[in-house]
Amino acid sequence: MSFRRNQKGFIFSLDATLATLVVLIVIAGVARVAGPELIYGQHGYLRLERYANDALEVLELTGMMDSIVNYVKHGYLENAEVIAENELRKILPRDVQFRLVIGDVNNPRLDNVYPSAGNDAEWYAAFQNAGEVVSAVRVSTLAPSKRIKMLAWVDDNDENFMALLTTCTNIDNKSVNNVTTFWNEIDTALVNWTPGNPYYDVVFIPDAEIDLAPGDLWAKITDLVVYQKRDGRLVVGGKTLYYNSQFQNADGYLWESLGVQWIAPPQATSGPPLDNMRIINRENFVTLPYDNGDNIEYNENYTQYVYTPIDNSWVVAQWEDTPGGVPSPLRGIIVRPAGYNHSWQGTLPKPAVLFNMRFAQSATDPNNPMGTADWITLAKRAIGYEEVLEPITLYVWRGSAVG
Amino acid sequence: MKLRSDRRGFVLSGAALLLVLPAMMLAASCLSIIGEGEEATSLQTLSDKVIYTAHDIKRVITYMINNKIPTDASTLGALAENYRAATGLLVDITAEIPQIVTLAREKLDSGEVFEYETTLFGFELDIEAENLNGVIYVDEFEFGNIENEDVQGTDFTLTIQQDNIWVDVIVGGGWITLRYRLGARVIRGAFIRVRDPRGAAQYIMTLDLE
Repeated sequence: MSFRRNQKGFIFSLDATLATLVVLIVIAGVARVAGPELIYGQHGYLRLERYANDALEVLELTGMMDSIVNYVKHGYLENAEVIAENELRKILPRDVQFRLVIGDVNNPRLDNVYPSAGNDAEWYAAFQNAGEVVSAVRVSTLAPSKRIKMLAWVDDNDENFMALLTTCTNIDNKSVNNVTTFWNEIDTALVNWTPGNPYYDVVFIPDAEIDLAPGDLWAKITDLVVYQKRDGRLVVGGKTLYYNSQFQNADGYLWESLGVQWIAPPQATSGPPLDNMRIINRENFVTLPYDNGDNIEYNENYTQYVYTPIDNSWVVAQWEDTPGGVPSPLRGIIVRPAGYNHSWQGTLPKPAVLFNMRFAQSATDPNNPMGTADWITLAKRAIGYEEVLEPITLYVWRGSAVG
Repeated sequence: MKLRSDRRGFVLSGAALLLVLPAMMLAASCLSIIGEGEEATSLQTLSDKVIYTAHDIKRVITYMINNKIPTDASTLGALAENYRAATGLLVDITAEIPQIVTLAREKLDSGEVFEYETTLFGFELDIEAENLNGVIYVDEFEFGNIENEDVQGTDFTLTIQQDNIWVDVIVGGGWITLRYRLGARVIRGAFIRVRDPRGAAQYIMTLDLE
C-alpha cells in the first residue's frame, strides 16, 4: 500500500515502544499481586492451620477426644483409630488430608490415623511429600506407658470396687478369691522374679475377710514379705490384718512390712464420728493430690482397727474424733516408705500402704456409697498408677486422597 | 506522522539496560516475597498458635484438678515442657498455691480455753477461744490493727488479712486450727504465660479454680 501525502497515522517510535513495554510490566505485576494465587499463598496456610486447630477443638467439644483417649488408655487401639478416622473425615474438607498421632512422635501410643484405613505406607509417603503441612497440638493425660500388672484378692463386696478401679485405669489385673490360687500366684511371682522386674508390680488386698494362711499354711503369709523384698509393692486394707494376726513370727513380719507394730489382735471400732477421714500429710505419693486438712468421706458403719505405726511420720491420714474408748487419733492410711530395713528380710525396695478402713465397701455401698471418687483416687495412687502427660498432634495438608 | 527534528526520545543504551535488568529482577523477587506471606499473615498464624495453646493448657489443668491428678510444681513444670516441645512456644506455668503454715491445732473439749499470742511478720496476733457445752466461742481474734467480732459456733472459719498475710481460724469437729497464708486468696490456681520466642505474640492468664 502506498501512503498518500496527507495520510495521518501513528508511528511506533522507540521510546513509545519502551513506554508500552514498561506499562505492560507494571500491569502484569499488579495483576499478579492482586491475583487469587498470591492471596491463597498468604491465607491458604492460615486457613490450613485453623482447620487443624478447629478439628481438634471439635473433637474436644463433642467428647470424641475423650472416647479416643480412653480407648488408647485401655489398649483398644483399633477402636480409637476407627473413631478418630471417621470423626476427622467428617470435620475436615475432602481436599484436606490428615494424620493424627497420640503420644510422643518418637514413641507414639497411636499412629497411622489417616483419612482412609489401610494404605498406611502410601499415606505416610504422601504426608512426607506434601508441600505444606500444618500441625496442631493438644496435651492429654494418658495411662503410664508400662502397664501395671496386679494380683488382687477379691472377696465379699469388693468386686464392684475392683470393676471401678480397672475401668478408670489400664491395669492388667488378676483377681482371685481362693487361698490355694492366691498362693500359687505368689509362688509364680517369686519364681519368675528377676532383679528390678517383679512378676506382679503390686499385690492388692483391699479387704481379706479370711485367714490367708490357715492351718499348715500358717508360715505362707511370710511369702508376702519375700515378695516385697523382690521389688513388689503391697497394698492392704480392711480386715486383712485382723484376720492374719495369729503368729508373731509369721503374721508379725507382714505387719511390720506394712508399717505397724505387732499388737494383735487389733482393737476393732466403728460408728460415729468416723465419717470424715482427714488428710494430714500430702507429701507422699498416695495423698499428693490433696491438701492437708482435706476430708475424705467414709461410711462409718464399716469397721476399722487400732494400729500403732512403727513411725508416726508414716501416717498420712487419720481420724481425730474417735468413739469412746478408742485413743485419738485413729490412724487411717499408713505409707511405709521404700527402703525400709525389715527385721527379717532387710531392705524392702518398694513402699507399702495400709488402708485402715473398708474403703471398697464404703465406696460401693449399695445404700449409701461414700467417698467413691476419693477412694478410687487413693487406691489408684497407692498401687502406683499415675497418669502421664503426652501430646496429641494433628497434621493436615492439601492434596488428593491415596488409594 | 512526520518526526520533527527537535522531537525528543529515549535511546536504550547499554547503561540504561544495566539499570533496567536489575530493576526487573528486584521486582520479580519482591513479587515472590509477597507470595510467601506478609507479616500480618504470619502474625495471625502465630497468634492463633499462642491462643490455642493457652486455652488447651487451661483445659488440661482444670481436668487435672477435677480428677485429682497432682498439680504441684513438678507436674506443672512437666506440662509446660510438653507444650514447649510440641509447639516451639515458650510456656510458663506457675502454681498459685499460697504457702500455708499451721501455727496451732488443738482439740478443745468442753470447758477448755485456747489462747495463742505471737508476732507474725511484724503484726501482733492474738486469739482466745473457749468451748462452752460443745459450742466454741472465739472471744478475741486480732491481727495487727484489725479485730474480728466475737463469733461462736461448731463449724466456721474466720480470716483476717494484713498486707499479703492471711490468718485463718478454722473451727470444726471440736478442733481449732490457727494458720496463716502468704499470697493471693486463691487456694488453687495457676499463672499461665505463653509467648513465641521472638515476643511477637503473648498470652497471659491467671487460672482461678476456686
